[in-house]
Amino acid sequence: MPMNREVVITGMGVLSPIGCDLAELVSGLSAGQSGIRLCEPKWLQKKFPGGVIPRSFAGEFTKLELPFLDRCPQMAVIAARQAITDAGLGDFSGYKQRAGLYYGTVRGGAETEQTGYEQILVEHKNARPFSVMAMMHNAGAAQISLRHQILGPVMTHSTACASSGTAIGEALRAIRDGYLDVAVAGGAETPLTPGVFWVFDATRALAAPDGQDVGRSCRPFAKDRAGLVLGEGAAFVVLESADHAKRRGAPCYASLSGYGVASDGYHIAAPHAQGEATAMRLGLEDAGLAPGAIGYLNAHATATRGGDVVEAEAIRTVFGDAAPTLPVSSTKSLHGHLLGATSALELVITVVAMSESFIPATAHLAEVDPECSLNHIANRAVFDQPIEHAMSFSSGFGGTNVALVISKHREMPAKRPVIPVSSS
Amino acid sequence: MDHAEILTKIRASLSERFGLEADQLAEDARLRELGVDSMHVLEIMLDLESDLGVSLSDLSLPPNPSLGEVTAVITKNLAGQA
Repeated sequence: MPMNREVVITGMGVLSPIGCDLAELVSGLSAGQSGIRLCEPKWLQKKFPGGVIPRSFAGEFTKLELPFLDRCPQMAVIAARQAITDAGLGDFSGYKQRAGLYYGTVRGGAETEQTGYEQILVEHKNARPFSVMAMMHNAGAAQISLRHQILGPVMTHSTACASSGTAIGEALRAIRDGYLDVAVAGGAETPLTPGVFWVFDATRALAAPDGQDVGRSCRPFAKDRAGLVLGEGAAFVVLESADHAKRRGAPCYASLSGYGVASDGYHIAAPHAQGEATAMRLGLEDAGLAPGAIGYLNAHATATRGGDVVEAEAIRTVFGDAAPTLPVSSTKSLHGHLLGATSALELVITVVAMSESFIPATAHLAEVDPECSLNHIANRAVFDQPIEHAMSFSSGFGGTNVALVISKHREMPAKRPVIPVSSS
Repeated sequence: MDHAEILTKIRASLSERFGLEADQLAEDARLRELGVDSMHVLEIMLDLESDLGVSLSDLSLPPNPSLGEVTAVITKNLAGQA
């Protein structure tokens, strides 16, 4: 019979287009500062908006390490290290198989793969011996495990845009059911490569750069929304049983109180309100909460014509009478869509919103699409808004939907993201 | 090409590719202690192959080889081809 233990979030780390530590993230969200910039991918005769982190992370690694590290696992290692340090942990070897790592990514080492194709087709060169280790999807997970001696399950989830959400949810279950004491969970994605732009552009789902201001190219729920904007980054949380955190005197940001996962079984790309609603309901049930208890919902809303309408319908169905007062926003308007890392980033955003008592806004929402009617927090964050429980929702190509629910912890000391966390 | 010349080439490659300092690269230095693993060695050997226009057929190395032992394997390969 599995145990049933409370699970808390004791550490967080983030590299995102709107901030490369928690303090920067809070300030970017509060100010509604857009991290969307103009991308001009090599080979393509086209420009795209993208959620860019305008810096290289290569300087954080030695020249012996770098050949094994695509930009994607580089970001995974750095964001996970932030989270682990933030939790007051470092080396997990003493936990043996009771520490786990749960990772999500869609494309893994996309830049290395892109370079490989150029080397084969254009330069006619041989691959380097490291290429496999740099581009394999579990590279980020494995690199974190090596560096921090995480010796239990080291798992990589690829459930499209729900990847890091299912990673975090499955980590929650492993701790709650008594298999683990502690887990590091999150995701990383670096999709701003010609190849990834090329394939997404073919779906006609990508926004063009806004003619006036590229920073406002991603407009979820808006009548004039024009498609999704890809973004890069990584986000991780440290999860542990509440008892374990109490024993080591660690404060927590929040409880991870619910996880709902449900699949559409409907279409390889088109979302379906029924599957989305089921994941939200299961998340609420898992947390033991009525819909009216949720004080903020961070929506998946990517700003595609069809997806936002389906999600709004799912939210109205699940929240019913509570829907007209439930504050909803999609922060993708500021950071773009981080694919496999998006769910983790948005969970971290939801946690900082709760701990700092503010609700981040959907930026660039001048006029709401009537088909997306909800209680939108539009354009300006709402401050001094205590949140007891919140939900972050994500939905992926292929039909996997995930809802993560967080709750304020009643007894344990509350932790706040006030101290800047070094990325080094 | 003799042992000393090969050793010089390997040292240059380790410095250029992986940022190792010349004073770390004594002939008896063990690769593991330098942080150099079998993938790094493979890259160095591929460099040498393309540099010298040869194909190294026997790349079997002892466990945790020294720089000198790697050099000896390559020198032996080249001698076999001469």
